[in-house]
Amino acid sequence: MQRTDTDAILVEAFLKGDDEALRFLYERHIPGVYNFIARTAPPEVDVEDIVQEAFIKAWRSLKGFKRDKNFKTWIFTIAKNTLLDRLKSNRTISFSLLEEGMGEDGPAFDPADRRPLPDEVLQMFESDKYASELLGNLKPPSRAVVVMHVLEDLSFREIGEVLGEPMDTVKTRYRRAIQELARLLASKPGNEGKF
Amino acid sequence: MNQFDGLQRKTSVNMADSLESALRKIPARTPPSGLFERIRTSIDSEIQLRALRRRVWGFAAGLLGIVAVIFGFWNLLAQELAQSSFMEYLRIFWSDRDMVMANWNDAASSLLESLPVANLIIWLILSFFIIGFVWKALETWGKSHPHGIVRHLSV
Repeated sequence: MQRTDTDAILVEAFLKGDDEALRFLYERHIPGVYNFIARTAPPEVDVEDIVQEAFIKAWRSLKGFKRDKNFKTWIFTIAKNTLLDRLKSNRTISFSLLEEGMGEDGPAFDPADRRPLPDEVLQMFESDKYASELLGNLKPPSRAVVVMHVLEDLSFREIGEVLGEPMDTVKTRYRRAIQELARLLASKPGNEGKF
Repeated sequence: MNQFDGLQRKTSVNMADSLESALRKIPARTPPSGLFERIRTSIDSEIQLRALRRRVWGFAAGLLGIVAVIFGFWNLLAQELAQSSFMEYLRIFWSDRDMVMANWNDAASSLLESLPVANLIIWLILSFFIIGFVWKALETWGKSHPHGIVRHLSV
Protein backbone atom coordinates (compact mmCIF):
# COMPACT_ATOMS: atom_id res chain seq x y z
CA MET A 1 0.00 0.00 0.00
CA GLN A 2 1.40 3.37 -1.08
CA ARG A 3 0.49 7.04 -0.65
CA THR A 4 -0.29 7.22 -4.39
CA ASP A 5 -2.82 4.37 -4.35
CA THR A 6 -6.41 5.14 -5.31
CA ASP A 7 -8.98 6.07 -2.68
CA ALA A 8 -10.69 2.70 -3.11
CA ILE A 9 -7.46 0.81 -2.41
CA LEU A 10 -6.72 2.96 0.64
CA VAL A 11 -10.23 2.43 2.03
CA GLU A 12 -9.87 -1.31 1.47
CA ALA A 13 -6.46 -1.32 3.17
CA PHE A 14 -7.77 0.64 6.15
CA LEU A 15 -10.70 -1.71 6.60
CA LYS A 16 -8.21 -4.60 6.62
CA GLY A 17 -6.47 -2.96 9.54
CA ASP A 18 -3.83 -0.74 7.93
CA ASP A 19 -3.94 2.50 9.92
CA GLU A 20 -1.43 4.21 7.64
CA ALA A 21 -3.99 3.99 4.81
CA LEU A 22 -6.30 6.29 6.77
CA ARG A 23 -3.52 8.84 7.08
CA PHE A 24 -2.85 8.77 3.32
CA LEU A 25 -6.55 8.98 2.53
CA TYR A 26 -7.28 11.81 4.95
CA GLU A 27 -4.17 13.82 4.14
CA ARG A 28 -5.23 13.68 0.50
CA HIS A 29 -8.72 15.04 1.14
CA ILE A 30 -8.40 17.32 4.17
CA PRO A 31 -7.12 20.33 2.16
CA GLY A 32 -9.99 20.17 -0.35
CA VAL A 33 -12.68 19.71 2.26
CA TYR A 34 -11.16 22.44 4.40
CA ASN A 35 -11.08 24.85 1.46
CA PHE A 36 -14.67 23.95 0.56
CA ILE A 37 -15.96 24.58 4.08
CA ALA A 38 -13.83 27.68 4.58
CA ARG A 39 -15.08 29.21 1.36
CA THR A 40 -18.71 28.16 1.78
CA ALA A 41 -19.46 28.54 5.50
CA PRO A 42 -20.43 31.82 7.14
CA PRO A 43 -17.52 33.53 8.91
CA GLU A 44 -18.97 32.71 12.35
CA VAL A 45 -18.42 29.00 11.81
CA ASP A 46 -15.36 27.24 13.20
CA VAL A 47 -14.09 25.64 10.00
CA GLU A 48 -11.49 23.43 11.64
CA ASP A 49 -14.09 22.01 13.98
CA ILE A 50 -16.48 21.21 11.12
CA VAL A 51 -13.74 19.52 9.11
CA GLN A 52 -12.60 17.53 12.11
CA GLU A 53 -16.14 16.38 12.84
CA ALA A 54 -16.74 15.49 9.20
CA PHE A 55 -13.68 13.26 9.04
CA ILE A 56 -14.55 11.58 12.32
CA LYS A 57 -18.05 10.90 10.97
CA ALA A 58 -16.45 9.51 7.82
CA TRP A 59 -14.28 7.19 9.91
CA ARG A 60 -17.38 5.94 11.74
CA SER A 61 -19.11 5.21 8.44
CA LEU A 62 -16.16 3.84 6.46
CA LYS A 63 -17.35 0.26 6.90
CA GLY A 64 -20.53 1.17 5.07
CA PHE A 65 -18.73 3.01 2.27
CA LYS A 66 -19.64 1.47 -1.06
CA ARG A 67 -16.45 0.72 -2.98
CA ASP A 68 -17.96 1.67 -6.33
CA LYS A 69 -18.65 5.21 -5.04
CA ASN A 70 -16.36 8.19 -5.35
CA PHE A 71 -14.69 8.83 -2.00
CA LYS A 72 -14.19 12.53 -2.73
CA THR A 73 -17.90 13.03 -3.41
CA TRP A 74 -18.73 11.01 -0.31
CA ILE A 75 -16.51 13.01 2.03
CA PHE A 76 -17.74 16.31 0.56
CA THR A 77 -21.31 15.18 1.20
CA ILE A 78 -20.47 14.37 4.81
CA ALA A 79 -18.75 17.74 5.21
CA LYS A 80 -21.72 19.59 3.74
CA ASN A 81 -24.16 17.74 6.02
CA THR A 82 -21.94 18.41 9.02
CA LEU A 83 -21.93 22.09 8.19
CA LEU A 84 -25.73 22.13 7.79
CA ASP A 85 -26.18 20.29 11.09
CA ARG A 86 -23.93 22.80 12.82
CA LEU A 87 -25.81 25.73 11.35
CA LYS A 88 -29.10 24.19 12.41
CA SER A 89 -27.84 23.77 15.96
CA ASN A 90 -26.54 27.37 15.99
CA ARG A 91 -29.89 29.04 15.61
CA THR A 92 -28.25 32.44 15.36
CA ILE A 93 -27.17 31.66 11.81
CA SER A 94 -29.85 31.37 9.19
CA PHE A 95 -29.35 27.89 7.81
CA SER A 96 -32.22 28.30 5.44
CA LEU A 97 -29.83 30.30 3.31
CA LEU A 98 -27.79 27.19 2.72
CA GLU A 99 -30.70 24.96 1.91
CA GLU A 100 -32.96 27.25 -0.03
CA GLY A 101 -33.81 26.52 -3.59
CA MET A 102 -32.07 27.77 -6.65
CA GLY A 103 -32.87 30.71 -8.84
CA GLU A 104 -32.70 33.42 -6.21
CA ASP A 105 -29.36 34.93 -6.98
CA GLY A 106 -30.81 38.17 -8.17
CA PRO A 107 -31.88 39.23 -11.61
CA ALA A 108 -30.35 37.36 -14.50
CA PHE A 109 -27.34 39.16 -15.84
CA ASP A 110 -27.22 40.00 -19.48
CA PRO A 111 -23.74 39.08 -20.68
CA ALA A 112 -24.21 40.10 -24.28
CA ASP A 113 -21.83 43.07 -24.09
CA ARG A 114 -19.20 41.49 -21.87
CA ARG A 115 -15.65 40.75 -22.97
CA PRO A 116 -13.04 38.52 -21.27
CA LEU A 117 -11.75 39.99 -18.01
CA PRO A 118 -8.80 42.40 -18.21
CA ASP A 119 -5.49 41.28 -16.66
CA GLU A 120 -5.62 43.72 -13.75
CA VAL A 121 -9.00 42.32 -12.72
CA LEU A 122 -7.71 38.76 -13.05
CA GLN A 123 -4.84 39.61 -10.72
CA MET A 124 -7.23 40.88 -8.08
CA PHE A 125 -8.53 37.33 -7.66
CA GLU A 126 -5.16 36.34 -6.25
CA SER A 127 -6.04 38.35 -3.16
CA ASP A 128 -7.80 36.17 -0.60
CA LYS A 129 -9.69 39.13 0.83
CA TYR A 130 -10.96 40.23 -2.56
CA ALA A 131 -11.99 36.69 -3.48
CA SER A 132 -13.75 36.18 -0.16
CA GLU A 133 -15.67 39.41 -0.55
CA LEU A 134 -16.70 38.54 -4.07
CA LEU A 135 -17.74 34.96 -3.28
CA GLY A 136 -19.44 36.21 -0.13
CA ASN A 137 -21.92 38.07 -2.31
CA LEU A 138 -23.22 34.78 -3.66
CA LYS A 139 -25.86 32.87 -1.77
CA PRO A 140 -24.42 29.79 -0.05
CA PRO A 141 -25.79 27.14 -2.45
CA SER A 142 -24.34 28.97 -5.44
CA ARG A 143 -21.11 29.65 -3.60
CA ALA A 144 -20.84 25.94 -2.80
CA VAL A 145 -21.30 25.02 -6.45
CA VAL A 146 -18.68 27.53 -7.61
CA VAL A 147 -16.18 26.49 -4.97
CA MET A 148 -16.62 22.79 -5.66
CA HIS A 149 -16.49 23.14 -9.44
CA VAL A 150 -13.80 25.76 -9.89
CA LEU A 151 -11.60 25.35 -6.83
CA GLU A 152 -12.01 21.64 -6.10
CA ASP A 153 -12.46 20.34 -9.65
CA LEU A 154 -15.65 18.41 -8.98
CA SER A 155 -17.76 17.72 -12.04
CA PHE A 156 -21.38 18.91 -12.17
CA ARG A 157 -22.50 15.31 -11.74
CA GLU A 158 -20.37 14.95 -8.62
CA ILE A 159 -21.62 18.26 -7.22
CA GLY A 160 -25.15 17.05 -7.85
CA GLU A 161 -24.39 13.98 -5.74
CA VAL A 162 -22.96 16.11 -2.94
CA LEU A 163 -25.88 18.53 -2.88
CA GLY A 164 -28.51 15.92 -3.68
CA GLU A 165 -29.67 17.84 -6.74
CA PRO A 166 -30.05 16.94 -10.42
CA MET A 167 -27.05 17.78 -12.58
CA ASP A 168 -29.05 20.27 -14.67
CA THR A 169 -30.00 22.19 -11.54
CA VAL A 170 -26.36 22.38 -10.55
CA LYS A 171 -25.39 23.60 -14.02
CA THR A 172 -28.06 26.29 -13.94
CA ARG A 173 -27.01 27.34 -10.47
CA TYR A 174 -23.41 27.58 -11.63
CA ARG A 175 -24.25 29.57 -14.74
CA ARG A 176 -26.30 32.03 -12.71
CA ALA A 177 -23.56 32.33 -10.12
CA ILE A 178 -21.03 33.18 -12.82
CA GLN A 179 -23.42 35.77 -14.24
CA GLU A 180 -23.93 37.23 -10.80
CA LEU A 181 -20.17 37.39 -10.21
CA ALA A 182 -19.67 39.15 -13.54
CA ARG A 183 -22.39 41.66 -12.64
CA LEU A 184 -20.77 42.26 -9.25
CA LEU A 185 -17.35 42.71 -10.83
CA ALA A 186 -18.70 45.15 -13.36
CA SER A 187 -20.44 47.18 -10.67
CA LYS A 188 -17.37 47.46 -8.41
CA PRO A 189 -15.90 50.95 -8.23
CA GLY A 190 -12.89 51.22 -10.51
CA ASN A 191 -14.00 48.43 -12.80
CA GLU A 192 -16.38 50.56 -14.82
CA GLY A 193 -15.46 50.50 -18.47
CA LYS A 194 -13.06 47.59 -18.13
CA PHE A 195 -15.62 45.12 -19.36
CA MET B 1 -32.02 30.67 -32.69
CA ASN B 2 -31.45 34.09 -34.25
CA GLN B 3 -28.11 35.82 -34.90
CA PHE B 4 -28.29 37.78 -31.65
CA ASP B 5 -28.80 34.63 -29.59
CA GLY B 6 -25.66 33.15 -31.15
CA LEU B 7 -23.60 36.24 -30.35
CA GLN B 8 -24.94 36.35 -26.81
CA ARG B 9 -24.13 32.70 -26.25
CA LYS B 10 -20.58 33.20 -27.60
CA THR B 11 -19.81 36.26 -25.47
CA SER B 12 -21.39 34.55 -22.50
CA VAL B 13 -19.11 31.57 -22.93
CA ASN B 14 -16.09 33.90 -23.25
CA MET B 15 -17.04 35.73 -20.10
CA ALA B 16 -17.71 32.50 -18.21
CA ASP B 17 -14.40 30.98 -19.29
CA SER B 18 -12.54 34.12 -18.38
CA LEU B 19 -14.24 34.40 -15.00
CA GLU B 20 -13.61 30.72 -14.38
CA SER B 21 -9.91 31.27 -15.07
CA ALA B 22 -9.96 34.20 -12.68
CA LEU B 23 -11.72 32.16 -10.00
CA ARG B 24 -9.07 29.46 -10.31
CA LYS B 25 -6.54 32.04 -9.16
CA ILE B 26 -8.27 32.30 -5.80
CA PRO B 27 -5.78 31.02 -3.24
CA ALA B 28 -6.87 27.88 -1.41
CA ARG B 29 -7.54 28.17 2.30
CA THR B 30 -5.06 25.76 3.79
CA PRO B 31 -5.87 23.69 6.86
CA PRO B 32 -3.86 24.41 10.00
CA SER B 33 -0.91 22.12 10.51
CA GLY B 34 -1.55 19.06 12.61
CA LEU B 35 -5.23 18.82 11.70
CA PHE B 36 -4.88 15.16 10.78
CA GLU B 37 -3.18 14.46 14.12
CA ARG B 38 -6.08 16.12 15.94
CA ILE B 39 -8.56 14.03 13.96
CA ARG B 40 -6.50 10.92 14.74
CA THR B 41 -6.47 11.81 18.44
CA SER B 42 -10.25 12.22 18.45
CA ILE B 43 -10.65 8.89 16.68
CA ASP B 44 -8.31 7.22 19.18
CA SER B 45 -10.31 8.70 22.06
CA GLU B 46 -13.49 7.34 20.54
CA ILE B 47 -11.90 3.91 20.10
CA GLN B 48 -10.88 3.99 23.78
CA LEU B 49 -14.35 5.08 24.80
CA ARG B 50 -15.94 2.27 22.79
CA ALA B 51 -13.56 -0.24 24.39
CA LEU B 52 -14.40 1.19 27.79
CA ARG B 53 -18.13 0.89 27.14
CA ARG B 54 -17.67 -2.71 25.99
CA ARG B 55 -15.70 -3.48 29.14
CA VAL B 56 -18.21 -1.81 31.42
CA TRP B 57 -21.11 -3.67 29.80
CA GLY B 58 -19.16 -6.93 29.81
CA PHE B 59 -18.24 -6.46 33.44
CA ALA B 60 -21.80 -5.57 34.41
CA ALA B 61 -23.20 -8.56 32.52
CA GLY B 62 -20.59 -10.90 34.03
CA LEU B 63 -21.21 -9.56 37.51
CA LEU B 64 -24.96 -9.88 37.12
CA GLY B 65 -24.61 -13.46 35.88
CA ILE B 66 -22.36 -14.48 38.74
CA VAL B 67 -24.54 -12.79 41.34
CA ALA B 68 -27.58 -14.58 39.91
CA VAL B 69 -25.78 -17.94 40.10
CA ILE B 70 -24.55 -17.26 43.64
CA PHE B 71 -28.01 -16.24 44.71
CA GLY B 72 -29.44 -19.43 43.20
CA PHE B 73 -26.90 -21.60 44.96
CA TRP B 74 -27.41 -19.73 48.21
CA ASN B 75 -31.12 -20.53 48.07
CA LEU B 76 -30.28 -24.14 47.34
CA LEU B 77 -27.82 -24.18 50.22
CA ALA B 78 -30.36 -22.59 52.57
CA GLN B 79 -32.94 -25.22 51.57
CA GLU B 80 -30.51 -28.07 52.16
CA LEU B 81 -29.41 -26.59 55.47
CA ALA B 82 -33.05 -26.40 56.50
CA GLN B 83 -33.63 -30.01 55.47
CA SER B 84 -30.47 -31.30 57.12
CA SER B 85 -29.99 -31.75 60.87
CA PHE B 86 -27.38 -29.05 60.93
CA MET B 87 -29.69 -26.44 62.41
CA GLU B 88 -30.81 -28.92 65.12
CA TYR B 89 -27.22 -29.58 66.08
CA LEU B 90 -26.53 -25.88 66.12
CA ARG B 91 -29.43 -25.29 68.49
CA ILE B 92 -28.07 -27.94 70.82
CA PHE B 93 -24.72 -26.12 70.76
CA TRP B 94 -26.57 -23.10 72.02
CA SER B 95 -29.03 -24.67 74.48
CA ASP B 96 -26.94 -27.45 76.02
CA ARG B 97 -23.45 -26.03 76.20
CA ASP B 98 -22.24 -28.26 79.07
CA MET B 99 -23.08 -31.47 77.24
CA VAL B 100 -21.46 -30.19 74.04
CA MET B 101 -18.33 -29.16 75.94
CA ALA B 102 -18.12 -32.58 77.60
CA ASN B 103 -18.39 -34.34 74.23
CA TRP B 104 -17.00 -31.60 71.99
CA ASN B 105 -15.24 -34.06 69.70
CA ASP B 106 -18.37 -36.01 68.81
CA ALA B 107 -20.50 -32.88 68.74
CA ALA B 108 -18.18 -31.11 66.33
CA SER B 109 -17.96 -34.09 63.96
CA SER B 110 -21.74 -34.55 64.05
CA LEU B 111 -22.22 -30.88 63.22
CA LEU B 112 -19.79 -31.07 60.32
CA GLU B 113 -21.31 -34.29 58.99
CA SER B 114 -24.72 -32.66 58.92
CA LEU B 115 -23.50 -29.91 56.58
CA PRO B 116 -24.58 -30.09 52.88
CA VAL B 117 -20.89 -30.14 51.90
CA ALA B 118 -21.20 -30.28 48.11
CA ASN B 119 -23.42 -27.20 47.85
CA LEU B 120 -21.40 -25.36 50.44
CA ILE B 121 -18.17 -25.94 48.49
CA ILE B 122 -19.76 -24.79 45.24
CA TRP B 123 -21.11 -21.70 46.92
CA LEU B 124 -17.72 -20.89 48.45
CA ILE B 125 -15.94 -21.40 45.11
CA LEU B 126 -18.40 -19.08 43.40
CA SER B 127 -17.98 -16.48 46.11
CA PHE B 128 -14.21 -16.56 45.74
CA PHE B 129 -14.60 -16.44 41.98
CA ILE B 130 -16.68 -13.26 42.09
CA ILE B 131 -14.21 -11.63 44.48
CA GLY B 132 -11.37 -12.58 42.12
CA PHE B 133 -13.34 -11.36 39.08
CA VAL B 134 -14.02 -7.95 40.63
CA TRP B 135 -10.46 -7.69 41.88
CA LYS B 136 -8.99 -8.54 38.47
CA ALA B 137 -11.33 -6.15 36.67
CA LEU B 138 -10.38 -3.29 38.97
CA GLU B 139 -6.70 -4.12 38.63
CA THR B 140 -6.91 -4.13 34.79
CA TRP B 141 -8.94 -0.94 34.89
CA GLY B 142 -6.39 0.78 37.08
CA LYS B 143 -3.54 -0.19 34.75
CA SER B 144 -5.19 0.85 31.48
CA HIS B 145 -7.03 3.95 32.71
CA PRO B 146 -4.82 5.75 35.21
CA HIS B 147 -6.91 8.93 34.91
CA GLY B 148 -10.09 7.37 36.21
CA ILE B 149 -13.54 6.66 34.82
CA VAL B 150 -14.92 10.20 34.97
CA ARG B 151 -12.37 11.57 32.53
CA HIS B 152 -13.01 8.79 30.03
CA LEU B 153 -16.75 8.99 30.21
CA SER B 154 -16.60 12.73 29.67
CA VAL B 155 -14.58 12.41 26.41
